[in-house]
Amino acid sequence: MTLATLESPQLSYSAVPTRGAGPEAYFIAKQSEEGRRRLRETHSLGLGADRAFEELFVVARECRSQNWDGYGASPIASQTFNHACRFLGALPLGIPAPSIGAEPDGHLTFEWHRSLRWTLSISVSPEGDLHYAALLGSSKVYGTEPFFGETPSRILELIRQVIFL
Amino acid sequence: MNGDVSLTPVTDDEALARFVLFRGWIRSSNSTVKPDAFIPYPYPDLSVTRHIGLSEQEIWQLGQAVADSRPATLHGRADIQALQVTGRSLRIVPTSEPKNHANITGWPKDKPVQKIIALQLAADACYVTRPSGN
Repeated sequence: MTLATLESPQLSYSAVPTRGAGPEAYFIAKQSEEGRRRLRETHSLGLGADRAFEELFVVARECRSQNWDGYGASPIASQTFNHACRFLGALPLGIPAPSIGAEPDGHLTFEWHRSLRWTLSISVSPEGDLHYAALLGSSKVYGTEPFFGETPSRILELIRQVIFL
Repeated sequence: MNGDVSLTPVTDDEALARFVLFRGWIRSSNSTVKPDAFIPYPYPDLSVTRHIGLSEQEIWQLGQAVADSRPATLHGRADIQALQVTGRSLRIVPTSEPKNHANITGWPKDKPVQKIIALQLAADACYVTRPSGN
């Protein structure tokens, strides 16, 4: 698995997590990763993944110094950036690319926005936790999911609710 | 309009500004502000500027002072009515310095709860782009 770093901004994708062991499992994971990479490079699916990785890198660079917001914000830590790269790389194909942002406490954010009342925001913490909050019309949901390399089903469900319903 | 409002309590009909120095806080699709701008930090306060007693030009001057402290570009501001803040069980505490400054306080510690409040504030906020020449 190759990840971009703040010092070395090559854009690449994290490996698809594999639960298997041995050369066959490794081969399948590599092939799957390569397939995902090729699909994203075609741009025919409109996923905007490359643009999202680029945006992530730009945001992380812009927010790497103390007080980047003028109000005393914390810088984005390299481990936060790495978790965010993995999270973005793990999104299933077909999910629209999110908008990337940053919060003053040093978390990176991913946002899916349909309207002011249909919005999902996910914060990636330095520990790799995914804090989410969503407005779904007149209802609201929020919580935390750990990130272990795969997009949590709760998060996927919320993305689909905000974007597709 | 002049006069020191530093110690006067904030009324529900007052407008408050959160200055935006980071482009990533603005949605390019429709020029609205993201909830990221309303996450309280350093915890437990969210810094805002009261509009009361200030002309538009003076509000932008105060924003420029925030930008100069970094230094950075002042892109705009997110305006929110005090009622939208107090209606979510937060308090607005004026401070004597800097001019017209107040802290929105009373935030829960739990990050997801902060986020849902920030989302609601962002949905109620009105983003104002900095006019050229200010």
